[in-house]
Amino acid sequence: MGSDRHLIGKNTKVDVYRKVMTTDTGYNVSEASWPAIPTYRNVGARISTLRPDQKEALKTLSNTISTVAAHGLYLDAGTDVLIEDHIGHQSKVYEVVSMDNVDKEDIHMEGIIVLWTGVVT
Amino acid sequence: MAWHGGGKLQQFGPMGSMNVWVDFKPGPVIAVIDATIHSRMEQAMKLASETAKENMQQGLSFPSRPGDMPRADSEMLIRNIEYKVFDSPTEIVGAFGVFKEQDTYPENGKVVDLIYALYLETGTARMDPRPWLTLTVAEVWDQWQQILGCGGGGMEVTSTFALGGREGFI
Repeated sequence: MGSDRHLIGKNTKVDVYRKVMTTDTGYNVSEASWPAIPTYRNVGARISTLRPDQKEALKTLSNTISTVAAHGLYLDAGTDVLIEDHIGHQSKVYEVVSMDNVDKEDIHMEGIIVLWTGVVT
Repeated sequence: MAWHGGGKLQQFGPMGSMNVWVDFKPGPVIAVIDATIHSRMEQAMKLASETAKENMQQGLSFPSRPGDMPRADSEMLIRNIEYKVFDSPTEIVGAFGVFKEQDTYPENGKVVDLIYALYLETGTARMDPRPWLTLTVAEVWDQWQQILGCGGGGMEVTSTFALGGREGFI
């Protein structure tokens, strides 16, 4: 745990401790710090996580589709699918355009929740 | 990568025996991830603030031991532990702690400087630390990691799904 000093209320300087959290989502790295929240001069702990950019969004989408594929979910071409994967991301953002060589008999849904589907209009 | 009907397509595949093409719309995906992180951050901060409040030592007739959670002489500190989540252009930030500078005892109107919450954490020349923030962060760290990671958000995994006209087809 590294630390630096920050000014907080009453002109008091305190050591601020930092600890990095790496989660198993693969993209989500967070940093916690305490006992001061320097920007706001509050007494507390702060944890921050970077907002995703387009590259990360694409990676997340890719992971989601991979998860669907790994579980053998069959998707009809032309459907718009709302998917919640085991990472917890959910979105109606996928128009499945084509799927080739899908084994329709091999459908296993463990860990996958498809919340809504509909034909794209 | 290919183009189809004006939409930007991304190919994910082959994966196993499948080739999957989807219309990639980064805006909605980013919005969904943002909302998910925001929601989970709120859950994580709520957990931390509740844990800190619950662990304050109430009902002690003697001072708390150095290094322990503070004794809650009054409910002043407990009452002022809050949490919040806010967004910056690059980050989603969660915080819990004491955000107000002062508060007033309702029974006698006496104003209290809440900087003592910091002094409890760090200690002073005349008082050993009662590091309530450090102890709380340590206690909830693994749960934070779970909430912010895979399988977080208190979501349940079920095997139910519906897929267009294929509802019930499993």
